[in-house]
Amino acid sequence: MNLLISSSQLFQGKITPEDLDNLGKIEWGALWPAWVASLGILLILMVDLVLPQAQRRLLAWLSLLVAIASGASTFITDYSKTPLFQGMVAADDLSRFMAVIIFGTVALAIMASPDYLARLGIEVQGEYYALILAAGCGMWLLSIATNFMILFVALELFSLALYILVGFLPRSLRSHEAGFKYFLLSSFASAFMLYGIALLFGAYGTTSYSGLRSQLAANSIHSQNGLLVLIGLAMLSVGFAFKISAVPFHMWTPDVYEGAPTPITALMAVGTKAAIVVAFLRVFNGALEPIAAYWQPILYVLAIITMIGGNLLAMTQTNVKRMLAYSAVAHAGYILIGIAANNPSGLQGVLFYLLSYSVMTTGAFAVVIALEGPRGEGLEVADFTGLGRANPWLAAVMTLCLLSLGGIPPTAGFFGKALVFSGAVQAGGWQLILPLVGAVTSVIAVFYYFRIVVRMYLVDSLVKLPLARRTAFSLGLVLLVAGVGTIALGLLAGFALNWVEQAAATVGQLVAISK
Amino acid sequence: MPEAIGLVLLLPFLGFLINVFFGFQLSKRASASVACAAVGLAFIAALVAALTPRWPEGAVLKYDWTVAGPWRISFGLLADPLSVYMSLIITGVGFLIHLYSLGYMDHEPDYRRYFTYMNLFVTAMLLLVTSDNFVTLLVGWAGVGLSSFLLIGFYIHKPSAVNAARKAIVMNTIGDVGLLLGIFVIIANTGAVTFVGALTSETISQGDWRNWAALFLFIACAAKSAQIPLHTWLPDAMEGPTPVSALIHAATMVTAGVYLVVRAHPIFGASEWAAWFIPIIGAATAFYAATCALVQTDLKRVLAYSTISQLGYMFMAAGIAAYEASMFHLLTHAFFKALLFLAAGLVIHSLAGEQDMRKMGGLRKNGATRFAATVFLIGALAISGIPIFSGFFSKEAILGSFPLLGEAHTLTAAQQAAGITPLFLTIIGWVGVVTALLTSFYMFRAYFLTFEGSPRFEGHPHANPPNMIVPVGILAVLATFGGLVAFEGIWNSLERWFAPTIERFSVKGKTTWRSIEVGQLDLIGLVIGIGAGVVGIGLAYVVFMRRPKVTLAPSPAEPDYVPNYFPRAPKKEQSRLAQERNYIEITKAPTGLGIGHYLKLGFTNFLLYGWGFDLLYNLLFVWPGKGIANLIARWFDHEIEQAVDVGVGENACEVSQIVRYTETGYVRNYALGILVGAVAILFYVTVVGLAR
Repeated sequence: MNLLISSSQLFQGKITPEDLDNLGKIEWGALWPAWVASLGILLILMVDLVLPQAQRRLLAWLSLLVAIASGASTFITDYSKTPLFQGMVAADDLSRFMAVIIFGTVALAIMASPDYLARLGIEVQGEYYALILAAGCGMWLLSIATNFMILFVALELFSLALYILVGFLPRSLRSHEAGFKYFLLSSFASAFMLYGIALLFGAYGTTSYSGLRSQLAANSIHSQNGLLVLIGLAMLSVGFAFKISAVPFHMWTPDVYEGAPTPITALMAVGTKAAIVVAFLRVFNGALEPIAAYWQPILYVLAIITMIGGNLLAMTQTNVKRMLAYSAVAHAGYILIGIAANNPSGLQGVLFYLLSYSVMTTGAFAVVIALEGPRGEGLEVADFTGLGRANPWLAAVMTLCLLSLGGIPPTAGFFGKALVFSGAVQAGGWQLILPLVGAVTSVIAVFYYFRIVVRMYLVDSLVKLPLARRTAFSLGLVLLVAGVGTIALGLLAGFALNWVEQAAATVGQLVAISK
Repeated sequence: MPEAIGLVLLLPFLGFLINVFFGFQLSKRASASVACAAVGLAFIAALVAALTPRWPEGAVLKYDWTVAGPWRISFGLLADPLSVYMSLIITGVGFLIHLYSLGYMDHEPDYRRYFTYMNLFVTAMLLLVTSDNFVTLLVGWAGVGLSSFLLIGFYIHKPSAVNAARKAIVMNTIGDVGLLLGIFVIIANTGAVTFVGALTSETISQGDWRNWAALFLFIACAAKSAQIPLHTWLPDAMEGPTPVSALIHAATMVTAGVYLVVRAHPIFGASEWAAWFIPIIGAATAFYAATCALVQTDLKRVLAYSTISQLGYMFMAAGIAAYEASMFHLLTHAFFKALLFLAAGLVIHSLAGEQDMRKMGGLRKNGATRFAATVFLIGALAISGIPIFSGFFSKEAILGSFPLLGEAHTLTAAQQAAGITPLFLTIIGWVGVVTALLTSFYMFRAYFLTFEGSPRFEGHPHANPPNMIVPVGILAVLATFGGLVAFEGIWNSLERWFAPTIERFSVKGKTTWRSIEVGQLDLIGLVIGIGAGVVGIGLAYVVFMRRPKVTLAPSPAEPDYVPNYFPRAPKKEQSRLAQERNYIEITKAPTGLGIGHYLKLGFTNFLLYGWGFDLLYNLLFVWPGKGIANLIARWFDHEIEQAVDVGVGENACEVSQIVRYTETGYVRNYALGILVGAVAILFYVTVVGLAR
């Protein structure tokens, strides 16, 4: 890593004695969450070897502990708000924000798992939890990366873990197929991204965000390197659009979300999306900010067709996991509005959206987990019929999360949408179309979300009562956190907003400090 | 400790949450105990808050909440004398009524639902009075409307109750809109939503906006406190359980309007329009409702009209800036009206749900209802303003604020600006005196019909359980001695109590707040006040005890009512009981009666149906509205429904089906999608790149 940086700086002929002093200096303290998670992975794998089969359930609690410790360790870390490791990673409020979101999601996914795995008859557990933690670690590193090298390594770290996790169900052909599809398509998209990074490196000889930004700001796009930069930008857009599952790069999403074990689906829908969105922010609103006028139109179009496509496709789905997958696609469209707005209000909106999206989506998937049967039954919309009577608590959490996903006040989802839209309105101009499309497609979204609510409460339950299984304690906790979070983020939005404001401010700040 | 105000609000809310989420797992007893304990503990917390040595400067327990950039709404609780005063009434009387409900609602199947709603109501009401800004006040305002709706319609299988609930929520929503508009006006002109910010702002001393703000806010007050012309829901609200009537429709919720006027007194006191319309509407309502109460046959409807009338008194006082007298009457009214309602509830409970006074009588002599007779008498004496009883002091305080005999009276600046003369105030004051006479008359009419005379009821009244007796007993003590908080020596205790509020909300050191003054209670005023009460009682005694030719009309609740209420002349040989029954029975109207009788009949019905306001509103709003709705349903809705259902829904589904063909499941197709997207983006950047 050091070599790369110094070589790029040598290439520019801009190496200073200070840089040489900094070479080899490692700020251990800044990466506490990653250290804790990595050590935790090793610990779990070793404990897995010595624990007798009957007590393997302890692994879940151990890994939960690791996830919580990783998330909590970010609060003891002293963030100096300067890029560390010679500009490889950022240590700022956004990093802390992401540590909470990602390791929180990881913890929730872990808590939702033991009961689910047991129900599906899966015995091997050590590697499952180790892989989840590895994925979480990768996601966090992705979100704090300020250099394309770290970005790519982190991307591969969590992608590799997820390939295995998606295909984790041993006797499910669908799961294997999903894992393999994800692997193939993700590699395809990664290649685009790598190519984009290479082109940008070719243009300016740097892989660091700050270096790129200062070069872009200094050199006009009209210079001879301009076309190289633009094509690199296009390639990066393709890579990011794939990861964030924007239309038309979204087609893997429903298949993979449907085939993966549901806790992993939740992790992918929430954690991966959050990480990739923040990386998106750091690259586009940070490094590529000087050429915003060139990438904004790409994002406008992507946002519009993603909102329309995602919601339209979700309408006719009968499988709840597929429906939620398309709804995840549609939400990517709303998030893109905030990124495209490229102003503080839009950035805050995006971050608040991520926060609210993580609780409400986790809640919806947790309900699906609670209902899913050993052979993949209980996943159809029809299976929710009469849930309001059979299990009022599950139905209540589901209703709450769906209301929030639909953006009905006073739930968290409403404020996420409102903030993102207000970002676009403040940006003005052509961007005013985006909130309009967003509003219309939100109405379509309410249609398919409410189909489930109607099924749960209003359809006569004589047809078929869902499996009135007792919800496991750990899963109950997930439901509680999600339900309370969905309401609390709406009613007490102020607390979260202050935090989001600080975190959003660092997206631009980072580049300003490091020259 | 003013921070205890947070607990005051939190405890009933916790009680509500527990009953909502775990009520179905709790036993009936446990559920009710939670609800009662929550309100009881809240009362203790309110006492703790009241015992503060120094009131805090700003709001306590603040929280900033925003979605719209720099403009923030702070949720804060205001621990000042006014809100703590209201909290004490709400939790104190509320706790007693919760206790009473244990017995009264015992046989109801929906016991838990009842207590859940009651806790919801107490929470919302407390939010209303402890909020430090107009926005959360609105939340509480709508919350009490909602819980009132739920409780009026508590008997969900009874059509009349459901209709009454609907009427209440419609009327209250008109008020909510008024409040919302008022808040908009206030925000637009002062830029603040907090009471301290908005009511002490510089702009409050000038501008026409104060008139508009006062008008809009008063619409809300009129709807919530049942003032003309938005009063019609309150008599019908008596369809709810009696403890609900006592708590919500007598002691607390309906006084929210008075609270708002007093809370926003810098606006109301500075508005020239309000100087006219509040006293006029208050006096008109007081007189109007008292006349309606004269002929009601349903015991609870008498009390309902009486509540409207007493609220009119409070507005009369608040309208001439005698806020202290108004708040004092609010307190004593909470005691004696809750007492009257609960006493009526004892009777109704004893008679298994009978509310018609024509089927009561002689209940004082019955062992099961003797206690009810005693406490009802106390309540009636209190509301009539007989000395020693609490109502005497507060009513004298209100009447004493008016120059009854044209004596010298200092007008406020707004009154002078509005051109109000002392003569106007004298007239308003005398309307109050006449109303006081009517009040004692109808109240003792109700007492005599219910408890004296010979029995006309069927079956045997059964005794009431002690958990109903005890709260009523406590309220009887309060209704008797509650007025002494303002007695000689401690007469100005209320002024001392409210001083911090007056000080905080004075604009530029000036305030419109008029305190109760001892000097105003001169001998003549006392004679007039007491005289009105005594004369009313005497008249009632003469009419209903000495010459008990009761003229009673059937209840409007009976749908197939034919107005033929004059009974056949009783025959001499009939027993007294049979004679009285005859008076009451609905028989054919005797032929050959003069036009005078029909005039009298018409007049009685006019009063009985509340001067025909319902008919008027039906003519003006309900029937045209229904007609238009029918037209729309027939001509437009169908088309639009078709368009929306078939157009939007089905077309979107069709498009969705087509788009679904892209989901083939083949990786090669998915990769093609990525490729197409990539090519499109590349095409774009190439075009842009070449065009740069």
